[in-house]
Amino acid sequence: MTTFIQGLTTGILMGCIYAFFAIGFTLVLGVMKVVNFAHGTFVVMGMYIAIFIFMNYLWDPFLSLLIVIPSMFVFGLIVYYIIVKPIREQPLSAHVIATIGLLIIIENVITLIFGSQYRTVTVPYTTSAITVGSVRIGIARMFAAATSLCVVGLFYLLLHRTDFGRAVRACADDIEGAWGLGINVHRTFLIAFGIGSVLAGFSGAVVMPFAVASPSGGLDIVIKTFVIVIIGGMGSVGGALVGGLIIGIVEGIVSALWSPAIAIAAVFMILIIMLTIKPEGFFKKGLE
Amino acid sequence: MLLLELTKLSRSFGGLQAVKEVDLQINQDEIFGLIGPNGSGKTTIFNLISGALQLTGGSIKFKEEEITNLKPHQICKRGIGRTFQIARPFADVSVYRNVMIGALNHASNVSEAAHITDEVLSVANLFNKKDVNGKNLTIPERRRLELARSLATKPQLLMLDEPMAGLNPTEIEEMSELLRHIRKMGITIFIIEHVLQAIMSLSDRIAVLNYGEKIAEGTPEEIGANHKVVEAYLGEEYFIAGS
Amino acid sequence: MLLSASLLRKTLFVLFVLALLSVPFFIRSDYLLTVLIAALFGAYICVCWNLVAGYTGLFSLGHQAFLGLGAYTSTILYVKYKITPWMGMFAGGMIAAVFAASITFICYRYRVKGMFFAVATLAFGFLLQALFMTWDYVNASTGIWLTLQNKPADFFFMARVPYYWIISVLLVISLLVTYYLERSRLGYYMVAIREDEDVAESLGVNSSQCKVIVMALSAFLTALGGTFYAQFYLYISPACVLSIEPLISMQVGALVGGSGTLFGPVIGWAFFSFLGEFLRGLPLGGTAVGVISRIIWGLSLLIVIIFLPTGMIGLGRKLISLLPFRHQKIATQEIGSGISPSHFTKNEKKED
Repeated sequence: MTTFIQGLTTGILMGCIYAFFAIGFTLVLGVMKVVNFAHGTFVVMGMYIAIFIFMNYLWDPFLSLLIVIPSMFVFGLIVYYIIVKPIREQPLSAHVIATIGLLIIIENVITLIFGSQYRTVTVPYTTSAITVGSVRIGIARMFAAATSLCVVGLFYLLLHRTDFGRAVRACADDIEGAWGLGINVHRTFLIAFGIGSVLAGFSGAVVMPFAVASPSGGLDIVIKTFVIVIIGGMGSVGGALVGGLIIGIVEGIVSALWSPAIAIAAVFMILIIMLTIKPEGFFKKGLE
Repeated sequence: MLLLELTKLSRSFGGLQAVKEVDLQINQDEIFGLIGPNGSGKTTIFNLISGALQLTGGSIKFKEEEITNLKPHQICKRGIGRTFQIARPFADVSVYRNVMIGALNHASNVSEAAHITDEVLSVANLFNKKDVNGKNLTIPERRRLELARSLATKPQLLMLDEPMAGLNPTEIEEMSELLRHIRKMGITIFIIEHVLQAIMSLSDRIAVLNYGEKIAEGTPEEIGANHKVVEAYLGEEYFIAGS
Repeated sequence: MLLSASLLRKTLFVLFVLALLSVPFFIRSDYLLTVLIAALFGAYICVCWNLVAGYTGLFSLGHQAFLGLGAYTSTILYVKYKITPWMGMFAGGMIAAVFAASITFICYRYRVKGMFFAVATLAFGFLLQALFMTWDYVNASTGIWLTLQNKPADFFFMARVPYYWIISVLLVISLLVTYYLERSRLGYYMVAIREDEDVAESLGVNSSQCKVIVMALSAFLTALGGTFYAQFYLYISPACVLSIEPLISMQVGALVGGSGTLFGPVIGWAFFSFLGEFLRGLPLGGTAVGVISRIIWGLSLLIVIIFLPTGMIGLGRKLISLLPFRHQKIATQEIGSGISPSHFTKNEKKED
């Protein structure tokens, strides 16, 4: 029973974090209908920027966000111009190939610079935990989860309470209509992709205090992201949170009661079930 | 002889009834027209017959046999061909290959299909374009390709969804001639069209759809004189009333 | 002078086979032979993947699973039950075919198409790797070693030349399969499915049946390659034969070479093989070679998708069409490129 609750708790925390991983992806998919297989690798980029800064300046990953955020934004803008813009209107097969190409490049550049071994960042609170009953909750994980919830919430507000958010939602619904409303659709796409990249890198940096990074971790993240987006619906922030929690909790409980390998199978089962029931997810289309 | 029979054909999407209990009978060797305002359910009916969409009520009989829930390729094998409202040629493949794919439906091997393809390409006047890729065709050529491809499947009933859309008057006349020629080949034609002069002069009988319901049926003259039809089309400039 | 495209292709094919056959008579160095064998193997799996992705438009992102299933089936059957890999190879092929057919059928049954199919296969490949990494029966992540020995009856050779012959035969078989498929009813239907599945169905194409057959066929062939891999490299592990690595090679060779074409994958992989060897000759240090190689792979994919969707073959055709021959039909695209318009497009239900 204790293992169950331990798994459940870790799962809930990870669920929030997974949701954070996913919102950048769902933003890009919802607004410009682009499938970015390299999204998980963007998250890994955030991890490695944090690692680099820690290795050289001993900054806490949260502090390194000062660097992660602007650099991921600029990176996103560049990727948008070079890759996303040309392929945006092409069929999805082009998105798959192009973003896989991008994935390969980023992964291998990271390997070139950092090597392929696992890396971690050890800050004072990396191994600290609080104990509630017989359940151990890592402080670092809690911080990450809390940050995730905050950012997801702020992102939701951005989408619904700001002019930019309105523009983004308009483009997600109907591009022609958005132009008609005087919205500069191209600029909106550009910035949205930049934000999506920032969200990815941000989420990566935030987990470094407790997570283990490897250049090839992107694939695992992007598959989970897909499952989350399929559960929650493309373009839905609330849906991403729900999806993230479901994945996190299932993974947590199954890992604790059986093994991590079985947990992967469990997540895969969820994917299969979702694909057969409702590939579009339970939430509405458009961006919300 | 009764070729196609729709009985109380219905299709709803959630709360919206796109097609409401439509009864229709099409006889062999007819050219049967289907007209109606945009959104009245015409293409939905085609989709229901061709198996692209599932019925929510009623039944469809072709050559006295129930074909209600068959899959699209099975429907094609039975002898019903269709074209699409927006021409969808296989883009990165030559005209020849496009038609071959249709021809393989009826042919038992590739060389037989090649014969059918050659025949059909001449009928549709596309023989000199046979090596051009689908995406490089002009609109009239695409429409003829749609037609040729479906013809190659050797249908007994050919359903055409707005084959004249985007054509100029000369091209419309050419297309009408082609359709009459196809009828002479022994193929029954079921045609949706908005170009009313053309469909009125081509069709033996016409049915009119509005909001998913059949509001009138008869010869072109009868339809022209029917005031319910005029109401439904109120505002359409080129509607011909009477002769 | 009339040079028809098909005559040119047949001639090239024959020349290619002749060149392949003559190599062992000129090249004696084991090192060179090994490089060639590796190159031919790479080309072989690219050709197999091209059948489903290039010709049929099915982005099977878990295709490495079939490679792994082939390698593990024959190896386990040999190591635990002493069954010769010559037979184990076919058992592996059958198992892979059954898996492929099942996945494809399930995806058809639940209308998992396009991007979702790609994600489903990606997840499947990932799952299989994870399972094998923790399954003790197959030695989990440690992998399985085979002994270097000379036992032709059990698919073991000390010399490199026999392996060269075997992989050459496999490659030629896969090319012949592709060639005859192109001309067959199934081949025409595969292309129709790639271009526009709904329209294909309205023309009488039983698309689910075709997809199942093509996936099973490709899986079978890929699995044969898996057994070859095991017998040649004498070591298999989830990281070698079940990871995303082989899949990336398949993609890169097929897509950059020219998806949906006969020689595209071969030419594409030949290019990357050559690139790898070239980089190895430079003073870069062991691991850097692999990494830089892959960065160039990624760049090539990007360049191809943005500027040259028809790949190297397409580029070649364009160049030929610029030559001053009177009859320019040499460059005519008979089959077309595989990175194609409507296949992945979301279903736009037009209601009227």
